[in-house]
Amino acid sequence: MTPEEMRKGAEAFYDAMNRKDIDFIRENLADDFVEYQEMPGIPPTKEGVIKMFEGMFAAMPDARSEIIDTVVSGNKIAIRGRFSATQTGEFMGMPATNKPFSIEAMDIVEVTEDGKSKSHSGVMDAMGMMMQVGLIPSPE
Amino acid sequence: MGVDENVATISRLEEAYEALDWDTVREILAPDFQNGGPMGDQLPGAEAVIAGATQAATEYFPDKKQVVLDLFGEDDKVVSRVRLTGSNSGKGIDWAQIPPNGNQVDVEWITIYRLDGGQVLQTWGQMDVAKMMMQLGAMEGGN
Repeated sequence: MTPEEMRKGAEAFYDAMNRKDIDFIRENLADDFVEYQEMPGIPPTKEGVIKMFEGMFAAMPDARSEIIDTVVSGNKIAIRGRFSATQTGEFMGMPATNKPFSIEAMDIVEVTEDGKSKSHSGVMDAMGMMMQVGLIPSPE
Repeated sequence: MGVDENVATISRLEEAYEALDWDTVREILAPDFQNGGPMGDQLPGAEAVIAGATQAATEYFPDKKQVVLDLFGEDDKVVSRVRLTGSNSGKGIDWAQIPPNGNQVDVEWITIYRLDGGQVLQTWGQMDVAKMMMQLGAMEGGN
C-alpha cells in the first residue's frame, strides 16, 4: 500500500469510530489481530478489541477521535490523535465521571497487504484525562 | 538529510539514552528544541531533558533499561516506540510522594521526532505516566 492509501485507511477507521460503526471495525481487524496496548479486563485479540469498542461506544456516546499527524513507513502508520469524550457510563471497571475531557494519544498500527489492521500499540495521556475529570489533582 | 539518516540519528539518540551518553544526546537534540513529550512544559530544551533523564536513571531507577520496539520515519519525522523498565530501588520520588519501595515499572513511550540537519527540533510524545504511578503504588488501580 502507498503512504496515501495507509493514511486513507487510518481516516476511514477514525470515521468508523466516530459513527460507532462496529461492523466496519470487525471487518477491518485481521482475524489474528494483536493488541499490544494493555487494557484492564480486555483480551489482546480481535474479539477483545471489539468488546472494548462496544463498551466505549455505550459508556462515551459523545466520543470523538481526530487525526492530527501521521508518519508512514512500509506497512506501519503512526498516528498522533486527539480523543475527546464524556464518560457517562461504567467503562473497564471505571465508574462514570460525567465530565468532558480531551487528550492526545499516539497509536502505531501495522497493516496487512490487503489493508486490514494486523496489530495496534498505543499510549494515551491517561494522566491528563484523570486530571481533567477530577480523579486526581492537577499540578499548579 | 534523508529519511534513512534521520532514522539512524534517532536510533543513536535512543541508544545514547540507554547508555546515559549525554554528549551524544546533546549533539542530537537542538538546545532549544520544542519538547512536546510527557512533562514537556517542565522540561524545556535539551539541558532540562538531560537533567531529568539523569535524575531518573541515577536516582529513581538505577537499573533502568529501555528497548526500542518500533523505529521508522517519513520525510522529516521519525517515530519510536520504546519499552522502559526499572525498579524504584534508589531514592524516593519526592514530587510524587513516592518512597523507595522497589516496585517494578514497565511502560511504553511513543515519540514523534521532527529533524532538520541531523538535529531534533521538535517532539510530540506520550508515556503512560498513569500506569507508572499505579505500578509505583502512588495511585490506585493498575495491574
